[in-house]
Amino acid sequence: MGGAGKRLTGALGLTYAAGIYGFIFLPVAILVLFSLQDGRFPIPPFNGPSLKWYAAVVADGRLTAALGNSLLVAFLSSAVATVLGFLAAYGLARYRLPASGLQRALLTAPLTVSYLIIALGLLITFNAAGIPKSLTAVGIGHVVINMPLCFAIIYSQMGAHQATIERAARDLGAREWQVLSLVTAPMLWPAIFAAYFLSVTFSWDEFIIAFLLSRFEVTLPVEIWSLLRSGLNPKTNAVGSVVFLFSAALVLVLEFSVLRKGPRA
Amino acid sequence: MSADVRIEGVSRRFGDFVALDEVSLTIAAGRYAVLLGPSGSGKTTLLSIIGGFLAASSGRVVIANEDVTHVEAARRPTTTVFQDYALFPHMTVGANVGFGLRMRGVAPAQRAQRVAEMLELVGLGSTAGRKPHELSGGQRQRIALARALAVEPKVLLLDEPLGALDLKLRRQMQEELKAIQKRVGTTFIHVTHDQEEAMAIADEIVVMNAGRIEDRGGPERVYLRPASPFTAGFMGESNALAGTLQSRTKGKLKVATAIATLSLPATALIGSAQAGALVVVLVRPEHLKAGAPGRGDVEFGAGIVEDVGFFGTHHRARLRHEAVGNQRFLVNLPQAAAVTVGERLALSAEPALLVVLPAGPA
Repeated sequence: MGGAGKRLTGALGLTYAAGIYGFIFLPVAILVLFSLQDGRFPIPPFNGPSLKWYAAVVADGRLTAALGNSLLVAFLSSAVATVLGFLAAYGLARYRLPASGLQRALLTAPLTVSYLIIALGLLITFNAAGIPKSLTAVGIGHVVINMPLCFAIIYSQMGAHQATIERAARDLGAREWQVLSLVTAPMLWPAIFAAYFLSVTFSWDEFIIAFLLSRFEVTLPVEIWSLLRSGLNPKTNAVGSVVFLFSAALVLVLEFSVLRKGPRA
Repeated sequence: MSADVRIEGVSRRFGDFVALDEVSLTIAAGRYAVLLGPSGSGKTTLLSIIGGFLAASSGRVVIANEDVTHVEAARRPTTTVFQDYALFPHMTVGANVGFGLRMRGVAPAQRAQRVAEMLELVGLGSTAGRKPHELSGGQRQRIALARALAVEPKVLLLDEPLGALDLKLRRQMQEELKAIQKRVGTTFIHVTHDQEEAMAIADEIVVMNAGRIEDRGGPERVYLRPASPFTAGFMGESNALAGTLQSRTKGKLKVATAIATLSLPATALIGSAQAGALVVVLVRPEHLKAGAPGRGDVEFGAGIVEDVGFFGTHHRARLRHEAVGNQRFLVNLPQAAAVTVGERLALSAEPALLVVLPAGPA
């Protein structure tokens, strides 16, 4: 055994890792690669790099409008979801509420329900309430799916030590909204930030709810889906790459700002 | 600015547990009062009720002749120094100290001036721009003190403020706390379970046990003439001799104990006891003398040294009484004393230093 065995395990490990990462990232790499295709079809052979399909995306009014809609829905719905999640977490962490265990379970339960079921439920409810399909409806749907996540992330970071610090603020004359805005939220900043950006990421590429609850103004995933119905096209690759790169950028922001937190007492 | 604090028949129950049982107490303005007791004695509960963090189940809290029983913490003329400092981690030291003033709408320029004064007061003038996590434990404690004093409270509450500090720093902070209290003149109410700390800083010690006040008074009074066996036991060590009060005659008590019938001055008795009552005679280890008794001293017979240790300022010996085997004595012997295990020592004490208490239920 000895050196040879070690080399063998090393090689096996390397192959395994390459296989795993290839499995995860190859489709995305192919998508991005053929978005740069200088030709009409996103299939081999690769004819050399070109940005013309990106130019086509930018020139397509419907795609840019959808992109704008997606950004709007993602940022606004995530803001609402984060605020609601934060307030719910604060309430449950700081006050003795009736059936708080049950309330916590109910708040996080939507995490386990499929988006399709949530979308159907919202569709039926909105129909009955006379709320038309719209971007607002999509936004509400995204609050429904993201609020439990925001709640869970922020709640997990609320400890007893912070409760004493909030008590100190109150002791010094802070009103409840001042405690929340000047002490609690800044102390929980990393968790709130993480919740917000995860929520943006999920809203950004969510399809089913956006598809079922929108009509004239659609989000980017819905627009991509309708593009796909007319066949494969490097333009869909290009817009898909944009979606991916935006998500990747969000993840990087999260990674550098929150997950690598410095020494915070 | 300072104010007196009046607690009137305050009780607090947590379910079936009675944390405070009809406590009444007045602390005069400008005093440094220490609530002293073991954990579970109700001292922290009482402090929380004074600060407005906990509602009393019954009774009233009056500060500066104003009933604040139902006033929220933010609106009370009290501020608190918390055990774990509870500084705002995301704010600078200056912003921490100025927080209360900011909440009161004080203009930034005035605020900065007051913050500087407060930091000067606690000896940390140059730290305003730093973050709390850059400071040591002792420094954070001072910042917490400066923050609480910045708003000029009428009463400052301190919840085991020195508990997290090492012994040397704790002794130093005790002196500073006392000095700062004298300077600002605010009423301080300080909770601790450390009787040495209490004696070092208090004008007045309030000894608490099981939700009640056992004793209150100046450090010397509480230590030398404790009002109850609990107080005597909590305020340092003492030797207890169970006995029966045989007679009380003009200035003299006769107490029959297993060792001997002791003749003591009538002033030794604290509280009231009739002839025939069960009593306890208390002797502090430092009051016991080994060797030939002086004139008029109360003699306790002799004991055999079982164990002896050196404590720096003194030797401490544990003795078993030679005639009454289950009676043990703790004796502080001089630094220079050379005592060995098995040695026989005669024990005596000055009568004026002895205390006789009615035997408690415990």
